[in-house]
Amino acid sequence: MIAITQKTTLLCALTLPIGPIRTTFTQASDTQGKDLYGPLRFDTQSASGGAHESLPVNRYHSFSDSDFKFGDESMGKLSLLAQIALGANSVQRLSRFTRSQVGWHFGEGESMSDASLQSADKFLRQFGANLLQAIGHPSVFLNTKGEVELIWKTETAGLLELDFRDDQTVEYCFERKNVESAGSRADVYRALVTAIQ
Amino acid sequence: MCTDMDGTNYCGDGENVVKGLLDETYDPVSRIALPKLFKGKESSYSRLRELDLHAIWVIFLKELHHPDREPPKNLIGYAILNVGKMRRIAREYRNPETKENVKLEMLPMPTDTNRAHAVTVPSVPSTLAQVISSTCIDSIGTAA
Repeated sequence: MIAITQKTTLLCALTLPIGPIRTTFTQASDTQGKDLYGPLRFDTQSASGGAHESLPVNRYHSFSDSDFKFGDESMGKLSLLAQIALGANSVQRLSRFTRSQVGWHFGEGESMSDASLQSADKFLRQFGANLLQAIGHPSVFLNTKGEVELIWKTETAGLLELDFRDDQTVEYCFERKNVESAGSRADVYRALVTAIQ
Repeated sequence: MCTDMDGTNYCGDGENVVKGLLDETYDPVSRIALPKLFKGKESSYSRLRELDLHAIWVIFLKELHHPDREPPKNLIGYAILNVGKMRRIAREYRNPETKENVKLEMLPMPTDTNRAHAVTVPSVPSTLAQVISSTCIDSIGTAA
């Protein structure tokens, strides 16, 4: 059972229009696991020690959906939630990869696929908070097809690799489970949760 | 050097080999080397028995380091792996599909620019590449 409790607090040192915030990710525990895959609820608090400000969900969405452009302006966008789940190092690496041009890997290598980036973004928006608490930030790589790869190094499960394909499926490869397969984002998240239990 | 039954000379268990690490294939913060570095057919290595680390590093700088490209391709370090450990890991490994292990060998394959060049045979599957990445790297050096 993944150790997801009633509340997970994450300090977000990000400057948003409403100032530095502390975001509390709230999700009902569920021993059956099914709610792990549902959308998270959010309460946003002031980190300055003032009165806690509870933002209604629709206001939350107003800034989660605000796009943070990085790298090449023509590339896709990465949501704030995805950036939090990735962490500063991986956001920086990803930003660098967005500038990769065709042939970047000794004559091979496609430039970064916008479809792959958006798929990774959707995955992290939906499951990133849970994964952040369970296994921390992933590292980011770009494969020669131009697809985004996320890799976690864990004590119990070894390396956990996700490869976000253009067709919106995710290829995964888990070291200790010795498994390599592919599926929808939700299926892969379930497989990931099983692998780290 | 070991000689197989067919007369092919492979690197012995006591040999150490070096792999160049670029910033696109190695994350120094998480210390993760991209498993795909070790995956597939004829993944390249350089043998420390043929050239010392400094000479190999100079070759890596010539062949891998391209800071002028966009984005820059920076050689940021090297990984040293032991051939015997790689072979043992591959013997213990079971391919998830075939349930068979891999008889991994390091085949010397000198080139015009690198007489220490060697490649792995046969093809390394993804999950074995992960095990090599996470357990076979004895040391990692980073550029000063």
